[in-house]
Amino acid sequence: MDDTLDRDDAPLRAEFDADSALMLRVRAGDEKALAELIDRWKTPLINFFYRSLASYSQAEDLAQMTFVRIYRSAPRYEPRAKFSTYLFHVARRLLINEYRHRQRKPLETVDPADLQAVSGSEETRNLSEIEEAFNQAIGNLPEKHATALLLLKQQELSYEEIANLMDASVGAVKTWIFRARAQLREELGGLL
Amino acid sequence: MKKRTLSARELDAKIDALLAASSVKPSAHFTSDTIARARAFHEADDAAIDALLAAYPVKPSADFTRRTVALALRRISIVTFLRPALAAAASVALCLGGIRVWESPREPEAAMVAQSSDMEELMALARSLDEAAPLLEGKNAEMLASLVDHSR
Repeated sequence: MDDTLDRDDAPLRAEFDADSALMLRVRAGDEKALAELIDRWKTPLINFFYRSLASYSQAEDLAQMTFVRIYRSAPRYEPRAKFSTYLFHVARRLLINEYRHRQRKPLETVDPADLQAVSGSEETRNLSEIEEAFNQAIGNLPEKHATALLLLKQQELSYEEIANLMDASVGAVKTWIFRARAQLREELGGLL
Repeated sequence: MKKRTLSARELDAKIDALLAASSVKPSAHFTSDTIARARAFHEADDAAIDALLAAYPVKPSADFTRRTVALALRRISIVTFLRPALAAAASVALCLGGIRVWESPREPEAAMVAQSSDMEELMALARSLDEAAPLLEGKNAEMLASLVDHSR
């Protein structure tokens, strides 16, 4: 369940950001606020899932599920932390579920939406190769390492926010990010 | 004067001596330069990795927001509609079961039989409610929503 941020020991009340204001409107039943919230966060969220799963269709599907869960838990929402912390907390739970699902069913067909024909210039092909290798390298990282690194560099969350949403210490987050970087360097060293 | 030809043994010794000699010395900054160079490689790798991480390579489809809002509203309506209905049905079943047990025959044997059949009924009800519960989750909720839509 995604109720953990409603606990009494949840993070201290953070700054009241614009997203939290939108979320309070969603809680009051404002559907336009929900659409606005989705518009603001759909690109970061889809890209977070895309980097984690290397599948566009799954990324979009999980992003949708994240917003649905956010909407369903809106009646219980309290702006205790930045909205992005709450959003990625929910997103990470869905991601972990997806990893578990993949472990149970490791064989899967490739979605045609993910098969983009690589044509055009040499530069485009090189970029696609780098993208593919990068996605694969991210996919080889343990979930905690990849998520922590993506939240830091892609979503620009602070170490404290990452520690908060991943239920870990700041020291642990720094270690995961250091190891993730080292592994990426090792795997991509010859390509970059 | 004729130069003396070295024996094979002497030649080997000479080569070994040449190989072992440190004819050139590294510059005073060699170590720090090497570390700086290695660091520069790391920094270049890190910068490239950061650039890839920060990029948003995919864009949401054009109707993503509309579809997501519709999905959220549909799911919330099916859940809010069915969950209280199931909870109410469970309460009624338990109450009825309780009343029937309370009003069952006084004779011990008859009472035992009645109670056991009531319990079986209750268990059957509980099982069917358990089976119905997963219908509220995942894609089944969507299926139920469409079934409800059709039935209207």
